Amino acid sequence: MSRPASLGSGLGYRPQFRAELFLHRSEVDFLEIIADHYFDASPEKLAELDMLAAHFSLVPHGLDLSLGSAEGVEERYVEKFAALIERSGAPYWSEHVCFTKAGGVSIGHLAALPYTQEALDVIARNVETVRKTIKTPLILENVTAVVVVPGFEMSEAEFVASACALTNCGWLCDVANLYANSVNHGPSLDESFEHWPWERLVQIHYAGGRWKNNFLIDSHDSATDEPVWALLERVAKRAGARNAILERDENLPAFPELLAEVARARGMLEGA
Amino acid sequence: MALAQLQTALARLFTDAGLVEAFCLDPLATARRLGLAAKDVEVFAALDAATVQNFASTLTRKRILDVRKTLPLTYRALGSDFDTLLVAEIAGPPRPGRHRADAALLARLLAARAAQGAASPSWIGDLARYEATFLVFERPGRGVAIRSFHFPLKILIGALLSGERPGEVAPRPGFGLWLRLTKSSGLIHLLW
Repeated sequence: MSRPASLGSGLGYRPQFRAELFLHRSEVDFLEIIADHYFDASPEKLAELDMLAAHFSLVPHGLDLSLGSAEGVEERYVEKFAALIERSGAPYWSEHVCFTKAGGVSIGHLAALPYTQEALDVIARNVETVRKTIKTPLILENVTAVVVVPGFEMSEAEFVASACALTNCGWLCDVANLYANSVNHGPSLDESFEHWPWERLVQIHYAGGRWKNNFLIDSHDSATDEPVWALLERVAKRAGARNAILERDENLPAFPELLAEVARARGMLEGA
Repeated sequence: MALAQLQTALARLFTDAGLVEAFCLDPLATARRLGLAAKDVEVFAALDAATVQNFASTLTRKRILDVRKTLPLTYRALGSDFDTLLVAEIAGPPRPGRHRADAALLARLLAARAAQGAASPSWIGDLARYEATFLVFERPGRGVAIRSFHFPLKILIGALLSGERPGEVAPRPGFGLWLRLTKSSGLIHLLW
C-alpha cells in the first residue's frame, strides 16, 4: 500500500461556516466533505462542491456505503460515489468498517460488525466490488461500537488491522472512537495500542464526545476532550501521521474555536 | 454465523422501539421470534440490553437533529414541542430519503393540524409547508411549485430570523413560487 499525499490539518466541512472558512482560508489545510450530501444534489449544492474544490484539497467521507453488509454494496451508491470523487479531484476517500443497512432496513447510523472472519470476508468482497468502479485509494475508519456483538473471534484492533490488510487499504484512525471504545468496553488503550495497523495510517479523525448513562457517546458536539488530544499526540508520534480532520457536527462554536483546534492538531502532526 | 440474517435482525432491533422493549424483557424469546439460526439466537440474546437501548436512543436523537437542521425555522418556532411531535411521527426505521422524508412527515402533520384548527401557533402549518417545499428543490431536475399560505410568512420569517418567537398573528393570504427552469439553473424563489 502506498501512502497517499500529505495534506496537513483540516476540517470536516459544514455549510454553516462556509463564509468564515473562506475568510480564514490559509488556516485550514484541507477539507473533508460528507459524500452523501452531494449525491442527487441540487445545482446549488454542486456549485458549492466546485467552489470548495477550487480552493481546497477535498477528501470525500462516506456514511452509508455499508461495507460490512453481508448482502453486498449498492451498485447505484458506488456509482454516485465514483462521480463525486472524480468531480472533487480527491487524492483518496474514506468509509467505515461497519454496516448501516440490512434486509431492507436502513439503520441511519454506523453499527459495529461482529469481530469475526465471516465479517472480514464480507468487507474484503465488498471492497473488491467497489474497486471495480472506484480506482482512487480507499481508507477504512474504525467506528464507535455502541453495541458490541457477542461471539467475537478477535479484538477490535485485530479486526480493523485484518480488514485493512485483507483489502490493502489505508487506515483512518478515529482517535475519539478509539478512546470511546476503550472506556466503554475495554481493553485499555495501553493494552491494545500495538495491535492497531499503524503502518497503514493515512489520516486521523478527532472530535468531542458526551457522557450519557455512564457511556461515552461519539456526539461531535463539543470541543475535543483532553484524553483524546493526548491520544492524538501519541498516535502522531507512533505512526508519523500527516493528515488530521476535526469533526464537529452540532453546537458549532465561534469559528476561531474550530481553527484553534485545527492549529493544535497541526502542531502535533508537525511535532511527531 | 449467518451474517446476513444476524445483521437484518440487528437492524430491526436498533430501529424498532417496540422490539427494543420486548428484547429488554425477554432477549431469548425476541431472538427466536426473528427467525435466526440456533447459534445466532444465542449471540443475539447475549447482546447487552443497556447498550441496545443506548444505541436506539442515539439513532432517534440523530434523526431529530437532522430534521431540526432541515426545518430550522419550524424548529425555532416550536421549541421543544418540535422534538415531541417529531418523535411521535417517525417511529420505526428511517425511510428512504432519511431526514427529508422525516421532515416532510412532520410538515404534513403540522399542516393537517393547522387545517383542523388544532395547531399552535396557528401559522406553524404554513411555515412547515414553506420550508418543506425547498426540500423538493434540493434534488436535481427542473420544476415549479406554487403554494398558497394563510398567514404573512414574510413577516413571520423575518421575526424568527431576528431571534424573536412570534405568537399568534392575524391571517393574511400569501403565495410562494419556486421555479427551476433547467436542471442546472439556479432556483428562483419568490414569496408574497
